Amino acid sequence: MTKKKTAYFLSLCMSMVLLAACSSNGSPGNGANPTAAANNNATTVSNEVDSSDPAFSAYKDPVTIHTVTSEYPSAKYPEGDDITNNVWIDRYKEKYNINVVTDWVSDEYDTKLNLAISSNELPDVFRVNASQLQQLTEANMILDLTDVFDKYASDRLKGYMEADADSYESGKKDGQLYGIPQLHWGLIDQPDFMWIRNDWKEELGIKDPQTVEDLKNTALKFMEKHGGYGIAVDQTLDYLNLLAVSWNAHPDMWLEDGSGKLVYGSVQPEMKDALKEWAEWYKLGIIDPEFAIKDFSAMNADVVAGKVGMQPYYQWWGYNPGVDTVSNLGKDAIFYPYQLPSITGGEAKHSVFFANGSYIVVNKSFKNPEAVIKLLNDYAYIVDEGVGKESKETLSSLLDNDLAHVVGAFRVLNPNSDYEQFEAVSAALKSEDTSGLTTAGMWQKYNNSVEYIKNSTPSAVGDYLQQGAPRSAYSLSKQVLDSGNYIKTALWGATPEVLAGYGTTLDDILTEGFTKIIMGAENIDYFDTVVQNWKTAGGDDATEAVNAAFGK
Amino acid sequence: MLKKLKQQSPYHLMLLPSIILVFIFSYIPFYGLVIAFQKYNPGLGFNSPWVGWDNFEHVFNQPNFVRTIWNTLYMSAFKIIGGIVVPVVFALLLNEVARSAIKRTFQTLVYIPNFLSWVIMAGILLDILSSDGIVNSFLKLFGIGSIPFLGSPSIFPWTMIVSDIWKGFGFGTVVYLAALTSIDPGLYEAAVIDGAKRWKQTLYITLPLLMPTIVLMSVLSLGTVLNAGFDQIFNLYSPVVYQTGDIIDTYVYRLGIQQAQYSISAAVGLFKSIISCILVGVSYILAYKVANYKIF
Repeated sequence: MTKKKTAYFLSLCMSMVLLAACSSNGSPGNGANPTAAANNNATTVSNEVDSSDPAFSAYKDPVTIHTVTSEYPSAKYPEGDDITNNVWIDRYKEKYNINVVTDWVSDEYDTKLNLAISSNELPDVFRVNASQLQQLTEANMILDLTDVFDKYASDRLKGYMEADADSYESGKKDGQLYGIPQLHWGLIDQPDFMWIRNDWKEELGIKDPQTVEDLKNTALKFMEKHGGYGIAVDQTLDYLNLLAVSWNAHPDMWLEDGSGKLVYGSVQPEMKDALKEWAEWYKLGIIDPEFAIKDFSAMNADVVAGKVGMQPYYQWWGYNPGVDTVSNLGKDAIFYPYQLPSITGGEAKHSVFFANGSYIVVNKSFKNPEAVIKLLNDYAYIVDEGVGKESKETLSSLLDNDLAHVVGAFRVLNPNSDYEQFEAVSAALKSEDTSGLTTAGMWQKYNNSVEYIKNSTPSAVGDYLQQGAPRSAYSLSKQVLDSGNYIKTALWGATPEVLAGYGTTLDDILTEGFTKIIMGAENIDYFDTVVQNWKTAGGDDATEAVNAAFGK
Repeated sequence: MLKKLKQQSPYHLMLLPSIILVFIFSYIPFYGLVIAFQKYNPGLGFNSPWVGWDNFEHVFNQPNFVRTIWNTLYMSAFKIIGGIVVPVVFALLLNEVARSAIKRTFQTLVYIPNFLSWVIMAGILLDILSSDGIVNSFLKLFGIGSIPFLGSPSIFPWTMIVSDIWKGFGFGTVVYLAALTSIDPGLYEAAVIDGAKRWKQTLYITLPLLMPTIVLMSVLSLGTVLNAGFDQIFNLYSPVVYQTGDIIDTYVYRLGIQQAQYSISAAVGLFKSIISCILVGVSYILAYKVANYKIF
């Protein structure tokens, strides 16, 4: 959620919780219950058309599922369709005899859902975040899905769970499954890079950076030639922190120290080394002198305007600010990713975080939880096996124009999808043999990469830089994953309550202190003071809680 | 007595809708304050487990909480003082303008910023106050170096105070101008006969007669002393100015609301309401004792 948007909804949120809480006294739970009861009458054991294939069998009598969802703004529907009425909803009805009814659609999904929870007006099936899952489980409001999942999930869906067993475990409480994790595209999207503007680099004949010193010198040469500053970062330090792995520091991550205890990466001595160097860089004008008041969009605006040629960034640089950069400055101004070097030689060890954000849960009063699993099976089938088994038109109508993302709670992502996709796309581009492209996603990435290579269309630069380019983000990420050159966070699941109770205030102390050090308002020894402040403000408390929850 | 009540009953009846509204939306929600003493779980609602004063302790034990109270108090103190002085002076000056067309033009011009939300205003301020923005370019003409209006802990609060007064003083001006027109012109005529010039007239007629309005506005604004302007600061601050720019509301936002920690937010809200309530009460008594002025 953006800062400004949140500001709008803050007062609304606070006052509405009180109101909603009041109204629940007057009319307890008049939401989904009546329909659930109706389903109860209609459903018997033999409602399935083909009971030998529980994972994909349709129902004889219709089953109705009430759900809620959020808008997916970039989806382009055919005339007359919208998020509550589209090809997916039609497919559920035709193929499985399941009516999916959307009770509400909201841009402020989490807030609205919190209100629904507190007023006891839950839909049958919906997606929640980790803390909502915890609250609902504690309040005994959602179904135990362990047996249903075992019986009805397709082998493919179960395979997803095996591929990311940690996320699967995080949906369980006392060994019982309450929330089915929706998973993610894969760990391949996690490593971060230094993105360097290519025409400037070639013009000055600069070699690929091999050491931290090279990064610094590249920035200095760019500044000499083009003026301004060297590296674009923002006030949150999120982007500057991506470079920390070069000093073997892992900010924002919980990791094991030598003795088997879990510690917070931002307060380790390695971080001090990184800050010391950054303060030096700031003095030299390499780091944006105004970074402390620049937010994300102001940072990217400078890149798009051609003021700066280096930016530490995630793998999706090509989508934003890449598209704007290429359309504004031309195709030669493209930035390419480079592995972050380590001060101890070689490449830096990357940080890998817990990737699962949401869970699918089922209302306690809902009688057909298996219907949900069928729809999940169907999504996995369409995305992974659809090519070849379904017609091109069917697939295109279901997946193109971002319609693949309008299914709300009714999907689990394949945690290997981006890895497999990248392998297939890069092989196809190399051999010009497209037989390996088996999913709709692969085709999309492939087509856009070809489009960029042939016509340099700016809107295609995102997919090109992520997967299709000779020097693409995923080609570097794949090396990281294949060589195991990364450290996983120890906080692999829901954030412990004690830690959540501090909000972002603990990290704020660090960001504030680190900013002062970088800007030279305090010298590097101030780091120890900042760490001490962090500890007394609750850092010790949080460390204890994380160790209790995830330590060995 | 009874007759009087009967006479006035239509007026009481007219008052009823607003009383009902206030009752429903301001008094009934008081019940929700219990969540300040609970470990609130939306699923359990008001049946969430009781934790007593734990939420308050958690907030007050935060080492940075004291500094946010201090920041809040001094920023809103200056905002309130400036928010009274500036519009009063401006209204007096405007009142002296003879041509009513000019008067009305200025009145409208200063009132316009009041209608823009801080989200939009912040975008404008970020632009004009940046190192290559209008203000700093202008200063450069006089050889003054670039001033980090939003990036320096020592300057940031003053940027907030000045911009807040600038944005809001149009409203005050309109209120005071209205109060000025209700002053009996006969008083001025009498003063002229007694030989009083403009300055003496202002000092002995205008200001005393304006005083009730000024006291009323000040007392009302004291109730907001613990709100130093969330929208404004939230949209303009950054980690580098937390030290002097972080107020109670922004701090609690980061502590609790971002992560849907309702209990903590409710605890701080309750704390703020009680302090504000006391302040309004005290200022009411002070206005009566010192200025011999009764608001109601």
